[in-house]
Amino acid sequence: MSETLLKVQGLKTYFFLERGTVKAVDGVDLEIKKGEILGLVGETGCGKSVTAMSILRLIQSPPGKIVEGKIIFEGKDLLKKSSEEMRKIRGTKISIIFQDPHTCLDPVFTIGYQIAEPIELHQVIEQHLMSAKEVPKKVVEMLKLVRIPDPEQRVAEYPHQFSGGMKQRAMIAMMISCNPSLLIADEPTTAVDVTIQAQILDLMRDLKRKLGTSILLITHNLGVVAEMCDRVAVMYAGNIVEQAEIMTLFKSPKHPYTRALLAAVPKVGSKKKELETIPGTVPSLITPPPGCKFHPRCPYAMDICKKEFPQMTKIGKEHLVRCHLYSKSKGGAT
Amino acid sequence: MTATLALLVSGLSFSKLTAKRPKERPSVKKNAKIPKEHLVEIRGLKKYFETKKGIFAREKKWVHAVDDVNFYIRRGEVFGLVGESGCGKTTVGKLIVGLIRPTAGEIYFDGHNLTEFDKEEMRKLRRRMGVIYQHPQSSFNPRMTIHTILSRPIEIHKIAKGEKMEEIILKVLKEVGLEPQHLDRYPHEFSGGQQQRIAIGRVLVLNPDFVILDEPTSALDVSVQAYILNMLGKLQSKFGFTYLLISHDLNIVEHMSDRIAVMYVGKMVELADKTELRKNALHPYTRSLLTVAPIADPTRKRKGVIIKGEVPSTINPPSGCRFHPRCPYAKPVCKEKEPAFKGIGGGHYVACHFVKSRTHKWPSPRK
Amino acid sequence: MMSEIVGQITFALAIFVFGISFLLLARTFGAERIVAKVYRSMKKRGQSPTARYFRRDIRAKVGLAIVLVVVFTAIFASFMAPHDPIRGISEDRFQGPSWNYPMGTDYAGRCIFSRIIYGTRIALMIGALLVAVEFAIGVPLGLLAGYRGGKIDSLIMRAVDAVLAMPGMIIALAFVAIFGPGLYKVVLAMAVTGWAGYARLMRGQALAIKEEPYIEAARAIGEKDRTILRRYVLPNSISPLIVMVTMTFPAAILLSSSMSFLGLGIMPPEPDWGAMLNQYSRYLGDPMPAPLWSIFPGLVMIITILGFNFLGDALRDALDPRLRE
Repeated sequence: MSETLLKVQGLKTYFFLERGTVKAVDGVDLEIKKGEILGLVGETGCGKSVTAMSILRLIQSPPGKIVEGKIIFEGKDLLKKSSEEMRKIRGTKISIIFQDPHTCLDPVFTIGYQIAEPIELHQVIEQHLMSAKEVPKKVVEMLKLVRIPDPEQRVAEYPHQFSGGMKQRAMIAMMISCNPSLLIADEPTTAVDVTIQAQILDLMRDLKRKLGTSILLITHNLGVVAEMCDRVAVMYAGNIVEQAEIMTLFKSPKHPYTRALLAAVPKVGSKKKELETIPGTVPSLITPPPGCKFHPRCPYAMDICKKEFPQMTKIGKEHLVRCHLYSKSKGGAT
Repeated sequence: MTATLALLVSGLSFSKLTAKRPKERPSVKKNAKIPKEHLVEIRGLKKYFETKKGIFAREKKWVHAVDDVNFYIRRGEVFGLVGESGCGKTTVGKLIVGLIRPTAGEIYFDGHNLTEFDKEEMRKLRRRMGVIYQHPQSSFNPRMTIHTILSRPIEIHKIAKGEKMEEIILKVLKEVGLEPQHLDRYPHEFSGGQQQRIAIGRVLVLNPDFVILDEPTSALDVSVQAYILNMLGKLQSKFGFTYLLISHDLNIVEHMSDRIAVMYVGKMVELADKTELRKNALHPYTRSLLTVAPIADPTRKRKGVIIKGEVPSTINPPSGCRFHPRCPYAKPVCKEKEPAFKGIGGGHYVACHFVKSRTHKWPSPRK
Repeated sequence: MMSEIVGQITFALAIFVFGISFLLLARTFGAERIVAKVYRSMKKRGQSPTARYFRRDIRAKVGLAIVLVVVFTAIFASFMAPHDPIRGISEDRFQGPSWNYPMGTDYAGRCIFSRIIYGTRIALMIGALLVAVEFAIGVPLGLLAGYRGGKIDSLIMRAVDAVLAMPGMIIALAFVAIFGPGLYKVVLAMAVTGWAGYARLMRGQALAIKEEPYIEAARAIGEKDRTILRRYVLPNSISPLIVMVTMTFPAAILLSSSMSFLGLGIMPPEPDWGAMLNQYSRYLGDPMPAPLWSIFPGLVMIITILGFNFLGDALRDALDPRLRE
């Protein structure tokens, strides 16, 4: 049904600091298909943001470095491209929106100017897809697309005149103006009110429907994942520990971390008095535990878990787990 | 060096001189009209902030942070206060603890009218209140060790000295799951979850009656959040605290509270028992919140209405019912008249012109 | 001279003995924890990002080296100076640099080297006293203005603005012209305008820190305002304060030397460097070794001021919160 848009293979991104090497991403495999929303879930420090930045090669180097891996996009390995080629891809073919719209919105320029910038740069100057005269119209079109009311007036306004939710949407407008095939959303709604979050998520669903944009949705909020995603990957300490279709993950999670995570979230309407907690703390990324990185906190830890790092095992259609409890079963994906 | 110290001390005593003198007041009597059951009672509470801009503006602009709010909190219950940014929930918390003074209205704590307290009396009353903040690290003086953080409240209110104080501190440490060797360390050396535990410890040393939890887990990871929420629940049953839980996360409020109140742009729009709110939320805003808050369960199909528009500004709130510009059921009366916050039975209060009873049914909203 | 040396030795020994005995005493009373804590915290501070940055900064090393040399010289001046700085030996006048007189002698037979060495004492004294006075006046006023705000803030800041608008050097000169020379009067003259810098700094700090959540948390547990200023605001303003203190020294040396050079302030035969410049600058055109008498103190002054400036710069950068991980 769907073909692959982006394939990440064996991605390793390390940060070389004075106190040691932080293995932020330690062997990650991901696949995003055309027109799907893939969720990347995990708690603070699991490496999800670093993965996103690695795909766009926006890692600060030094101290960071993508040490290994392949990122295949449109048949070519992004990691082998020159920085000039990457620059042409960012904002046009692959875009990213962040938690804080202030990272993209310069307070001294009008919103219209800022949204026009990528359009002018890429579509007018580089690709000659439109003339400079058509740009203002396109800007208004984008504002309409992200549902900002009175777009003709708003183009002349400055970011501080926009509310939080509107700034978020302006940022989305800026980033999708060149119709990217992949939109990476890094915690897009964490800083926004619930009602505005609903609007933005609805907008993103709309984009997927209307423009066929694939979305890599990075979040720690399982509720957002449940609402938005087609497939989900769960990250822990730099690795993906489970990956499945949305229903499968929530109905029959296999990895102990996934299960613990789902049990720890309070849900409206559930009768549980106490939430389940995960003992211990997130491991150090400089000296992770040997074997399976989750084993010190895992209620099902076996001997082998302390010694051998588990590989990904396929246990169902589209369902992959990285756990020794399941590695005896058939098959073996990477 | 002594000269410096002398000057420093005199300089700081100078600050005492400039403190307002307490006005002559009668001794504080308990208000007989407040039922004993109500630990906290709020009547007609208003807090307006002056906006800083416009020195040359003719009219002063006011931020209507809290605009005529009325409710009470029962002893021993968990009272949840939900709302989005700017609704005033955090301001309500600060008003109760006395960190800011109300513009109008009364706050009763254990029968005492706090609005009549002066600064010093309020300071002493803080012994009976605790506050847990959203960002644990920034709630600590970075230059104080954990020991000092825990001992300060005891020293300030002269509860114990020396050995006895150390005893209390060690007991509290154990209660929150920390070790004595942590006492010599500084807050930044701990993880977010541990820091929040220290904050809970700081509350415990005073053994207060009332604790305000202001977004206690919003800055924490999911797994840590569960741990902290469980701990807060256990401590409540053990020590009999009364909680005011303030959050924008409906899931958490729903999980922990006995009663839940919803605020919108400075006003309280709904208040009900947890079970009642679950089954029968009546204010359109509450209903939208409930249906739109993401739940970690993809099977739940929500018939929710995604309300359009932005959260309005508190400087120029909409006329009449503040929700009317975004309400799918709005009619002309909603723009003209503000709805009263009235009870409809069973401890359920709503501020809406159309909700007359608990059996009110909303038609499907017009788009 | 002999009594001075004895005094110095006794002083140094006393500090040493006192320090060791204090630690030993603490140990015997089971306060091992405190001793270990002090050692540990010093070690830990050595690992902090500030300390690490510092260790790599050339300016820090050079600056610190110079400052330490100056301080050491000031403390142990009586051991280091080969001759009396004030009384000259007439037989030894106009001598060029030699083993006995490393920088030669002046027209009265005084050893320039010894004079410069004793000059460090005066220079540091002026700096330290100036810091003390300006700190004592400026810090409480600044804290008060920042924390309280409102009318008090306006009042104090208007005074600060007025003072800052005044030309400090000229006022200082006027002060000593009216009240006469002398070390303490010189310090006072500089402090009259100098305190404003500290006040402004502390006001900014108080304003910023006042908004921090932990201040509100402190009030929520019932802390008094006075205590908050003393234990919450002030300790967290130490960084910029340290930098300001370090930078007050070169300012003090420069300003007081200028005053002495102009004939107001510290007068010869006190071995103040500025006074020496005043004394000897007329001999710059004369045959050697006369020009050396003003060149040497001038050089030493430049190096000292540079040292403090380097140290202050390095401290300011090292303490910059943006460099924290």
